[in-house]
Amino acid sequence: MKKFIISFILLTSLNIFTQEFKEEKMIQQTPLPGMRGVVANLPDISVTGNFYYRFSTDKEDTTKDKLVIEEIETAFQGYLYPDIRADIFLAMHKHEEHIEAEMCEAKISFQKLIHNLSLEVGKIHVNFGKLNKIHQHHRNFYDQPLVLTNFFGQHGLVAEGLNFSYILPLPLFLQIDLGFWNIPQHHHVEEHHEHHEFSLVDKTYTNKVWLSFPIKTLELEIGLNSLLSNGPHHHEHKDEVKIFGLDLTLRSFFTRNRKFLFTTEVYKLTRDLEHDSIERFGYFVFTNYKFNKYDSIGLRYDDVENVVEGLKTISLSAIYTRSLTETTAIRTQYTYFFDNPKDIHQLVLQIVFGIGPHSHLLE
Amino acid sequence: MKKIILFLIIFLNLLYSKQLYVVTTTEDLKSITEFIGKQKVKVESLSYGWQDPHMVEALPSMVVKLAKADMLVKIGLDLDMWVDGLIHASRNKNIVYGAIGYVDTSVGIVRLEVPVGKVDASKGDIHIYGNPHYWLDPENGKIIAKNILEGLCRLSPEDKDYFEKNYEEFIEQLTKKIDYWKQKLKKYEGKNFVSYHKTFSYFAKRFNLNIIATVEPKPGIPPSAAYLKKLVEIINKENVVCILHENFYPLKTSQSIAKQTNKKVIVLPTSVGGVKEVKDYFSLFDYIITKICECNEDKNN
Repeated sequence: MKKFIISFILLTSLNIFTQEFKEEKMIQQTPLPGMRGVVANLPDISVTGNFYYRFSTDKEDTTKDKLVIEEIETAFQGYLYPDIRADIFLAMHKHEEHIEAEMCEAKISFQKLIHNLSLEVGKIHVNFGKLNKIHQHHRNFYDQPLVLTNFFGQHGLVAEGLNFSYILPLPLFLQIDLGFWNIPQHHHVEEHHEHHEFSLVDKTYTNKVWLSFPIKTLELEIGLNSLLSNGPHHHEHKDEVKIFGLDLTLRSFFTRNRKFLFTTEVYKLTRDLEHDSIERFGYFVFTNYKFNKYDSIGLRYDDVENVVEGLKTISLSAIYTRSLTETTAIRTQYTYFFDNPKDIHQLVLQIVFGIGPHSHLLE
Repeated sequence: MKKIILFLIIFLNLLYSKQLYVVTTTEDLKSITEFIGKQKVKVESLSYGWQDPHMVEALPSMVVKLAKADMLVKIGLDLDMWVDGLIHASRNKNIVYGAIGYVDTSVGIVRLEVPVGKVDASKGDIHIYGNPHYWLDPENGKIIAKNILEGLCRLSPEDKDYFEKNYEEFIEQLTKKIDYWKQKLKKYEGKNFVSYHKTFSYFAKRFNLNIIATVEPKPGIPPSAAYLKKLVEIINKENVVCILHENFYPLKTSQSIAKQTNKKVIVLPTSVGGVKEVKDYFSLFDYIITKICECNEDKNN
């Protein structure tokens, strides 16, 4: 009797036996993301969050040694019509000491106009490079690579406009993107340790040729990117900006959830001023090895030329990520900044999480 | 000679173009589709059998396959949600939800472990439509086959008789095999097992095996030391035959439990292609059932 009571207590103490389940016959197809609220006519609603705590040896850094609620993003996603989908991402961002509400993305996607041509209209993370399209909470590190921040801004290249995307009918994946954008004037970047500002403004044109093909269990992606835009002073005088970029991603899949990822993005920015021409160069290289279902380690090297000629920011980061679920992860990232103007050590503890059905199309 | 070559080219072209191009999310669905479609279909799977079907990464090369597909066959029940974004990226209207070439094989399945009440992450990585590993009950293989048959007949009504004949053959073969597998597992009826994830719920129900606990305390959640201690006590008390371990999960924990309880861990594929010996839907069950039987034989020896 004693044994029976003990085993009963043990069994009931395990949660798996206390969950309530039933059997039920499936009478319809499984609804897709974006169609979950079909009965109540509601879109998919989700919330993602990004919190971190940052330690740094930089004495001038006022945001160190405190918990930062970097972002809370709310998404509303659903169909407007067959093949026409709306995705709205509203975010609360930390800007210096204040929390500001921002429309992170708001777009309507016409998934098939004619043949393989699709169109996105609205405020969009531009399909430029590999990482720019990917929202921060989906990235493998807590911060944005320096080249993207220095060339495109705090949140990367986000613009209002439209993007045509065409998949060529070939045996391999070859997609061409053409974007026509407007970037508001206020969207600028203040570069650290300098009294110079740089931003892309007003009419902007982007182009990406995206090629991908598998080689056994490897997948190689190559992107060729180009951009024409204006610098912050173009209203006063000529200030034209051209950016050319190359992104390369290699993914290798092994058995038992093991995966190796290598990705790099290289950019060259040319700024034509009235009597001068400035060239800047920047890149990052990232490797990540996921060694089981839950854990991965990564290394990232950043190197970017700043606005002031001759000044560079270089950093090396080591990252460990523990994935709790598909949408929730805890991360530790150590970064060493070389000569910026003096060496800085930085350690970040981060948690990113998601609640509810949240989806992004192919990124 | 010239005419013969020309005739051959036209003939081969006609023969080839008659094939329906079917893309499946898993290799199990590929295998069943091949049984029913035979020469009239060309089937490709987006994932490998050795991958965790919950966590397949959407790749651009998959978009190319889907863009060309006449038919998409998916598991549904949120297991292969990763394909949904790819469908839209492919711009292929034939395979979108509700279209003529869209086949969700979960239609008609009696789902196990459908959560009741509010579902959230406190219950782990739970599937709101119930346990999605239904293909591991071979009787459900018949429902999957029926859904695929209907899809193929919709797309190619002129080949209906051909597909139906193949379907009947598949059902007959599967029925015989189920009887054989039941016989093989008869001695394990009512016996207790532990699995890593809740992958084998359908399999266990069909063959009357009791999966009394999982190594994961909740779906998708790795165990804590305290949980493992309780689990070891349960295994010791409940006379567990062995630990069924899905081959894409970390083996270390299951091995540690096995060591503490003196039980054997059987590493099992859960899909066609999960190990090289498992080449089709029938050999998947042959392999799993043989391994379970071997476990007890080893124990008796």
